[in-house]
Amino acid sequence: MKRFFYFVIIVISLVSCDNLQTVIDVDLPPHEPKLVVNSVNEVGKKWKAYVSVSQAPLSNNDFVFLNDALVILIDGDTSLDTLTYNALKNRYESSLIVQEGTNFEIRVSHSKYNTINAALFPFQKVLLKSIEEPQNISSETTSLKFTIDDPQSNNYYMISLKAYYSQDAYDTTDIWQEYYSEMEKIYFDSDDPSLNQGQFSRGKVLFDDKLFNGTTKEFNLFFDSYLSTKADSILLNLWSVDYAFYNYFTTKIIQLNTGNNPIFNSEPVNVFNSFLNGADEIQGYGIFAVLCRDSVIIQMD
Amino acid sequence: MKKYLILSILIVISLYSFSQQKYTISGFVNDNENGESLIGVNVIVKEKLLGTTSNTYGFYSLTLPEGSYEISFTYIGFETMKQSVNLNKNISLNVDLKSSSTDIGEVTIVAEETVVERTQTSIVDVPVQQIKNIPALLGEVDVLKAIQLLPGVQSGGEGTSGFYVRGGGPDQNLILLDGVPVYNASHLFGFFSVFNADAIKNVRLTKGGFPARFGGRLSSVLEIDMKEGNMKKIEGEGSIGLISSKLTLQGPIIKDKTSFIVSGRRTYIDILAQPFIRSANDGNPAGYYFYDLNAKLNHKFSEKDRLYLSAYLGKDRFYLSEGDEYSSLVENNNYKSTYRNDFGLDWGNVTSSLRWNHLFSNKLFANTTLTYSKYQFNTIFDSYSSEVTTFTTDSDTTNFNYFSGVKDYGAKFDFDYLPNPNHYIKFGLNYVRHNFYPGSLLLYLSSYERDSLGVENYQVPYDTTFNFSEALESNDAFFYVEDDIKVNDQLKVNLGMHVGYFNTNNKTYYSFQPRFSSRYLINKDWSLKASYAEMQQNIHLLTGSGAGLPTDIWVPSTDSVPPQYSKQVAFAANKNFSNGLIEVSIEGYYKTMSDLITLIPGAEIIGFEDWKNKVDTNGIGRSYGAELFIQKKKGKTTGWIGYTLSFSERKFEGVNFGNWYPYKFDRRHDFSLVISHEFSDNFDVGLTWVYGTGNNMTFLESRYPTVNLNGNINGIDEGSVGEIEYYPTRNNLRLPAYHRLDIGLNFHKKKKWGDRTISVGAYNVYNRKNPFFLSVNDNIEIQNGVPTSTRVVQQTSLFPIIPSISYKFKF
Repeated sequence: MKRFFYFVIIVISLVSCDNLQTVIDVDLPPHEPKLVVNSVNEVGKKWKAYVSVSQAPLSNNDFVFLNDALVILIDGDTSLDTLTYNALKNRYESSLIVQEGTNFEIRVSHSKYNTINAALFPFQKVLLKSIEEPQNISSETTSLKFTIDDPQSNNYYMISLKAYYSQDAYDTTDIWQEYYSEMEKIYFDSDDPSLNQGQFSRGKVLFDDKLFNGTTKEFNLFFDSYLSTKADSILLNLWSVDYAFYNYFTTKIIQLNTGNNPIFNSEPVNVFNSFLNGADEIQGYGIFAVLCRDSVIIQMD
Repeated sequence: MKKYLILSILIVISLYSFSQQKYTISGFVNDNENGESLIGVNVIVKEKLLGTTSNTYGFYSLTLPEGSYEISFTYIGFETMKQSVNLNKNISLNVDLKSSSTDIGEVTIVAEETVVERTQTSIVDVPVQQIKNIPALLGEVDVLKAIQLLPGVQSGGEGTSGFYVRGGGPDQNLILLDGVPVYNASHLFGFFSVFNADAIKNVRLTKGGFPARFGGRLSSVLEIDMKEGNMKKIEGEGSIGLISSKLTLQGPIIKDKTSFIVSGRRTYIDILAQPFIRSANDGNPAGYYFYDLNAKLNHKFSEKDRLYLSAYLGKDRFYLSEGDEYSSLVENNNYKSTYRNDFGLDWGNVTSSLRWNHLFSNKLFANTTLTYSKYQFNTIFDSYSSEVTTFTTDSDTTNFNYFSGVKDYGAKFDFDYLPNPNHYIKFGLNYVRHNFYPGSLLLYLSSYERDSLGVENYQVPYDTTFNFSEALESNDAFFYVEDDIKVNDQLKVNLGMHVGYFNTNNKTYYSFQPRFSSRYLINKDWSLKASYAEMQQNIHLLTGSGAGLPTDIWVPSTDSVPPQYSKQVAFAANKNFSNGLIEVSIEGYYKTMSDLITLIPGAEIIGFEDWKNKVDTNGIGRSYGAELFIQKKKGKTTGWIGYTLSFSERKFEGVNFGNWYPYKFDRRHDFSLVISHEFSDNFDVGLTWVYGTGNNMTFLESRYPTVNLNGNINGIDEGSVGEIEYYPTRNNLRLPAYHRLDIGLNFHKKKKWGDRTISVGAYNVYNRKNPFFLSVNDNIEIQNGVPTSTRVVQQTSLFPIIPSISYKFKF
């Protein structure tokens, strides 16, 4: 009896240490590949689009980027330009420059997949104004203030800061020499609720104008004083972005932050998709968006 | 208008009955061993085929025409007591029932009120002794885990204490401990419930056909009554288990007049493992524990007045510290740097109630209750760093405490009026003042500097409380009246009305919630039942998982978030077999819910944004199904078989393109088998087997490449492109089925000092790997010496087979 008892304990102990992660088969519906178009365009630069194909959840293949698709820019009923494939950059490019206030459509066709199209959302370019000299508000923090005049419509923005250095700005014995290059993103912060509602990602913040719609808005950004004392100049970028850009990237960030664990994560989030038909059904996947930049270089003493 | 008509009929019927000349026999029914009042004792007058049952405090009252009667008092586990009375005046008769020995079935079968006779549908009593016999995870007897085994009740998933009744959410269950709401009933992230079975006398779950006295939640009412304390002698019991130990002491302070009970439980894995934790954590402490403490005092002032004071205190705490010190001496300059970070999570409930029973007359019983309930969750981060030299000092202190919770003060007045055996009228008034604080931060920052000249600089840049969500106060009141009417020997009807008032921030909601249930007795072993109930819930729970996490936040209805509302209809057929030895019931239900809320996709519960911006409101839900329950309460073999067929769906404007989608816990089939068998006085066995269709989860349908904020895609040539997942609909994939077998063996022995029981058992005996969640991962295997990555669906499980052993004692 004792032996049996010990045997049971040993078996239970071994089984208890078993791996609790198991590869299982699940009954997934068949995946129908769809065209994916990623076309984010900046005013003043050429139109561009990456064209690829969606993959099944468990596919082990790398994403395929198509070079034989037909990518057309359309203005109303007029076909404006057919984008050509740039093999070096794996994308289609137009000879046309993105203009402010355009309301184009993009249509992408391929022999193996359904044709998809998307239209741009209108938006207004907003300019930076009243940019103040950066102020050291403590030994560790520098503050940068500026304002914008926000139009009455719904507007979406993105801000970034970059620091520029001359080579002799460094002491060659400085341990950070290797770390700093000539240009560096500035990771900044703010106690402004209209920015905290937004999404900070890689030194940029994306936000809407819900809290200051139609008013003159002052922003106050904080960053490490070390950067301001070392930099020759600071580049302040303000992008006016369209509805598609704002929604695509905010939902993308939320999706990245949402996991599968049912206990500690919320429900997964779908990323904004520009390629829906009139009934909001999925034609394909991706983004068709435009953004417009206003920049100011602030010289540091 | 119809509602008022029903109410009027009810009052007229009651008044009519008052006009007849009768006498009343009334009193309290107690356990003769310990003086505990007995709830639900069947008091029967055979000559008249009339009867009543004792209420929560053991009070009964029967009004009959003058005459001689034999009155029998029957209750499961107790010998039937028969008392002849000559009723020519009002009589007060207190009864002490004697606990029966092993042949309890023989004694109590005949006249106990069975599920067949009861007017109410959808109600289940689970004997505490049976709960104690159910094998449990790590041997920790758990009331809520036992409740999850009942038909119509589903568990949230592996190991969780959260439960879901008839397609409702975890927030839709009103859990009352001695009449006081408990807001979070889980320890250890839901793996254990807060209820210590040693301190509990009675557990009753109502899933539908709610009597008018209940309100405030849509899906169920779980009543848990604490023991009152032994009036006769000092008694103790306790257990030493793998993760916790507990001790209960009870006894008279003044014999047959005043008694107490105190029961405590604490886990000790943090204490036992502390040396290992410290060695792994650079000498710094870390750990987790929970404890709870139940206490109750009761005092009989007279036959008409009795006072109860009960309290519950429970807390979970997770803590982790880190720190270091460095000292040096360079050129007569002492240097010392110190840093210390303490991180903690703690959460817990405090409840207390003061109850006063008063007998206004032998027909009118009153209970006045003052209640207090508090639930709070804290995230604490304290940091201290300093650099001290012979000449200078520089230190920084940070104290961060993010907390959320709810605090209630309440008063209620409940009356039981028994004018004659054909009516049992209950009416009352309830008021609760809720204080919600959905998310606040206490932040204290300070710095201290002393330079080499001795100049000191002390600064406190922050010493503030930030309320990210507005703290809200609500007034929640209701009035109710209900009558359990015996229309004739076959037909009994319970009619009632629950009138609610709720006010937050100048927004007021009124509600009229009609309640109805009826029973038609085909014969003594067969009955049919029907019920209809409308319920309003004035508070909501912000929950991402639905698993009863401590981080879930209670919030009130506001002008933008209206109260939840449900309508439920249920039909039941009940049958007794073998002279009442086996009770069988089949129930069907259909429930609609409106004004539900859900977190918007991606929203985090803990955060610095107002909760009102994180919810999607005005959701609707529907659930329907059928339940089979076969229960054997008596004899050497007891237990039940439960089966549920259910459907539950939700619809929100902002979710799933506004279309209906299956609820996460929409499980088609649930089956449970619970058996305990007493082989002898010294040995019994408990066995549980559960099977449930898997929960639903939202699973991706496809993947595609993404661009960065500059509009470029990097890593194309390297095959390392960032990707986005597409989810077609909410809860589109069903997880694999859940099933598990648990076994427990109890070895009892009588000792000189009392009884001892050694319990050994195993949870998940056949080591079923039940799904906790699924994820898509890269699985790397070596094929022909080359590592190859394949994408697979990986299931994570929580509990393999887990053996347990505990030592219990009673003196």
